[in-house]
Amino acid sequence: MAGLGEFEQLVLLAIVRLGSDAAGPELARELERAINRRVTRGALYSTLNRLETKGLVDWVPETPGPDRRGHIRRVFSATREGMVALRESRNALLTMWEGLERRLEKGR
Amino acid sequence: MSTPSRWGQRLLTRTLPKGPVGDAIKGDLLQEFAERIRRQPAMFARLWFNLQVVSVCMWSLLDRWRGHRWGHPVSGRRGGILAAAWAEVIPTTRALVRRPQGSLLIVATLAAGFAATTTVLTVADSVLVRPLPYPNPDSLVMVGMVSPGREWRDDAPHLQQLDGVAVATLVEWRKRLQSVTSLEAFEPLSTLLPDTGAGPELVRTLSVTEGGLDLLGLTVAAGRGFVPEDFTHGAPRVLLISDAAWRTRYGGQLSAIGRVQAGATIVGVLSGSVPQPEVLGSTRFEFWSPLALDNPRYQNRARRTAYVFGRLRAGATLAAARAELAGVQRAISAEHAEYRFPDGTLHGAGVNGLQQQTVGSAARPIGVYLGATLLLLLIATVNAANLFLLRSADRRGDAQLRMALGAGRGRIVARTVIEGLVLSSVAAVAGFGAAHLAVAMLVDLGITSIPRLSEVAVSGRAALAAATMAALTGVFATVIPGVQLARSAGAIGGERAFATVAPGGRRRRQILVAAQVAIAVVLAVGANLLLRTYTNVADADLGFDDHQLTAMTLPLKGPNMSLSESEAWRLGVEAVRAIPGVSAAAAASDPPFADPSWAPWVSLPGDPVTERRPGVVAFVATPGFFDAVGSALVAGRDFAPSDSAVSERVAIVNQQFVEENFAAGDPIGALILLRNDGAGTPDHTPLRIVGVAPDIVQQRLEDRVRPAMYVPYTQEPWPYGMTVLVRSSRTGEAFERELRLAARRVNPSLPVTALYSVSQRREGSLAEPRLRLLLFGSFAAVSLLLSVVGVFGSLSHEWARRRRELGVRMALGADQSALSRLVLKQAGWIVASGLVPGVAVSLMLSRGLQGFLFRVEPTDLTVMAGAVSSVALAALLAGWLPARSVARTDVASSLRRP
Repeated sequence: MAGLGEFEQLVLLAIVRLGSDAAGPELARELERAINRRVTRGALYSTLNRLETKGLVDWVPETPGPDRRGHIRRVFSATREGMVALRESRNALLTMWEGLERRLEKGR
Repeated sequence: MSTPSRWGQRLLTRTLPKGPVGDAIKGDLLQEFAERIRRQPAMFARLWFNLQVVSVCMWSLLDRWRGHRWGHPVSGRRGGILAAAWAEVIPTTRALVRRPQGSLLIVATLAAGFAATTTVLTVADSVLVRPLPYPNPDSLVMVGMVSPGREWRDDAPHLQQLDGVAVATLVEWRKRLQSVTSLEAFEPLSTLLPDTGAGPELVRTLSVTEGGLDLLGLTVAAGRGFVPEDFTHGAPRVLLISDAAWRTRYGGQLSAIGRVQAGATIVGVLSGSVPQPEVLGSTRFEFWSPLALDNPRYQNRARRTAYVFGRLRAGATLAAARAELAGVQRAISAEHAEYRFPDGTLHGAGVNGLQQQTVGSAARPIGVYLGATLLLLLIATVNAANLFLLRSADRRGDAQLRMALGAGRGRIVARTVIEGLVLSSVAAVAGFGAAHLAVAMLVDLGITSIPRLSEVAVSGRAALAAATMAALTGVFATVIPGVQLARSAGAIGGERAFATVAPGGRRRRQILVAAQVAIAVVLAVGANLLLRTYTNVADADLGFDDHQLTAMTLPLKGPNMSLSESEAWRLGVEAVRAIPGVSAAAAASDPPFADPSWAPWVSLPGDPVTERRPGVVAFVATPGFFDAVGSALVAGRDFAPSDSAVSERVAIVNQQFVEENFAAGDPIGALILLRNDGAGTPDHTPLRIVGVAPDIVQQRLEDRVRPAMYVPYTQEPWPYGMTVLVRSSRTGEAFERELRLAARRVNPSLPVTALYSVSQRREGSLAEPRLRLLLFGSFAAVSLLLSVVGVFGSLSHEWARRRRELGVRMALGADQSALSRLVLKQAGWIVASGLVPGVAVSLMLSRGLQGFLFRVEPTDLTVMAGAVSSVALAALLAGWLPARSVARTDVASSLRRP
């Protein structure tokens, strides 16, 4: 199964979280809110392209709103493989995190 | 303004992929812009939009370069152009290593071309292009005096002929010139070091004005530099020692500082990182001393012995500086008699860029060498292209298979080009390494006609040039073969019954072979011309007999010198004649194979006052000079004891002088008028010609002997030193010791500055013509070999493929000799197609060798005929071998073979 980079995970999670609203502007807003830092659109679309190449996301076109001046809107969704990749990634992280919460709290 | 920037939108349209993905990304950015406009100032929204456009475009391009084109998630092409090219490199290299046969020949020939071209490019870069190693080198100039009628150099017409400057003149220039600043004088002197057991020694010292060291960026590595007080006349004498002399004389010990040499204290050591300016001559100055402008001897305007360097003021051009200097010097010359000639003409002044002055006339010969090496590289490339064409004929099956598996024609061409680039890269590395060695050897040879030789080193620019050559060669040699291969592999039913070689491919190969023959002719003509030159130079009549002739040079001026010059001359010669084994001895101001140092103003009675006989050089000699050098007078008599200071002034002239000035009649008894070349001398001196001598070689064997006159030492007080020429069968250390002892009779404290065999100088004079012959000869030999290989390879390959045709011809009645004639006829056509353009190009290009030739014209027909016939013979011989093989064709086996 394709390995996920950190930003790829975040983008995939944002897609899952937003559901049917997971288009470019909404994803960018959600990511900036969650990680509390600016997300360059170039990095975002590059990552979306990479996830699509790996077969972890898919998209469908939608009718554009007035602000888009006729340009189509893509709404992304995680594929089955994408969900599996997220699950594996989470399990790996949880395994590594196990037993470390108390130590991290002490370090604060 | 509530719209996003137009340039941003256009950039998105240009950069993003066409289709829904690009469309959607643009829409996303426009949507976000519209949302931002509603909640923040328009300026911030536009700034945000522009930044995101740049970010999106950069990421899109980066991903495209990596082969991840947006909107093509399953493109099937894993990797972009670079990745595809890299993917071909490994299998191509593996295939070349597995079958190195043809590749080694290609690499070897290309490496030879790269080595030669890189070496010459390195020399050209170091000598002509690289700036001088001084601060702000572009603004550095050399300023000098210019004599009327000799304003421009013959060997480099863009340079003024600059002569030495009097220090007093420098002082005037400093006050008056605007366009040239920081004028500093550098005066070569000789310093006599006392006898420490090995005999007195004369070392070269450079006296320099106060700003001279800073002008050249010279710094002191140990001790102290000069201080302003050192530049006052009468101050304690101090010296700086050069880095090389410090290491040689004092082992690099700091205890050298404070030592006293010839009455001056060494106060510092110059850093060795900045080389001495080449225009100051090849002798390295061991000591540097301060030049005090208030020293009375520098008030003498006739003492023009200094070099002057300066800087062009910012914004000033060389032309403007020349015009200003000419005007300033005209005014100075009008004010002082020392600058005026008896006929009223005035000394002028001129200025050259220091880099141009250093390079001198070296650009042309370097250009000739570069042309020859580029021809060699061209023939190597053509040879490689031919070999690739032959290979492409053999690889058609392989290419057809690849195309059947999905490779396009572009891929086939790319594979061939990559193969060429791999081979040329290997050749470039090998050639570059060889160039390093060649450059080191060249520097060791110490060829005097190449200025800045000590600075020649392979640089980044040369490496870049080598890499560029490799890339261009690799592409040039393989594009056409690759295209041909792709076309022939893609053709349907490419195999025809009789022509197993595509006719287009054969013609191309023949053109390439003919081109090789043409280039071989050009280089062979050049080599033959230089061979003829070398033999002419080697056989040139010296005008004297250099066997068993030794030359010993010693100065006449020095401490404790109470003798007059003529007495010193007499004593010196007598002392040498008394040595056992010496059959003859005499002295002259300049020996053969030395640059004559006296070029007087000579005219004939009746000449206009302003006219001087051009190019005349003069020598002071003792009686018996011509006998000592083995040169029998052609007419008249030698100098006699009666030719004294009180008798009529006499002269002996050489045959060249007679040819140029007395073509009509007998010169014996005629008068010539001698004026001092320096202006200010009021009168001329009449000399009566008493003898005519042969043309004795002056500086180099290949130089035209200039018209010369000889005057007796008793009538011309020549104070600058003498060279004693000694005829004796004796050689060796014991003989040299006796010669040095004899010199001490003139003055015990004077050193012998040179002691050598004259025939060695003759050998040295042959060194450069020999080197040129060796270079061109090597190029010609390699190119001839390549063209022979080309003819042989092309014909052998073609007729091996046409064996069936040969079998059919024989079956139909052709005999072996008819087949041989067929092959030879083809070979003849190919060779002739190369010879004709080769001769035409040779006729055009051989004029470029004019400066290298001696007593042979660039279009000499016999030389051309010799070169053409040797190339033709070799190429036809190469064609005869396949013809012989064809003649032995077995009918049955050739018909059976598909």
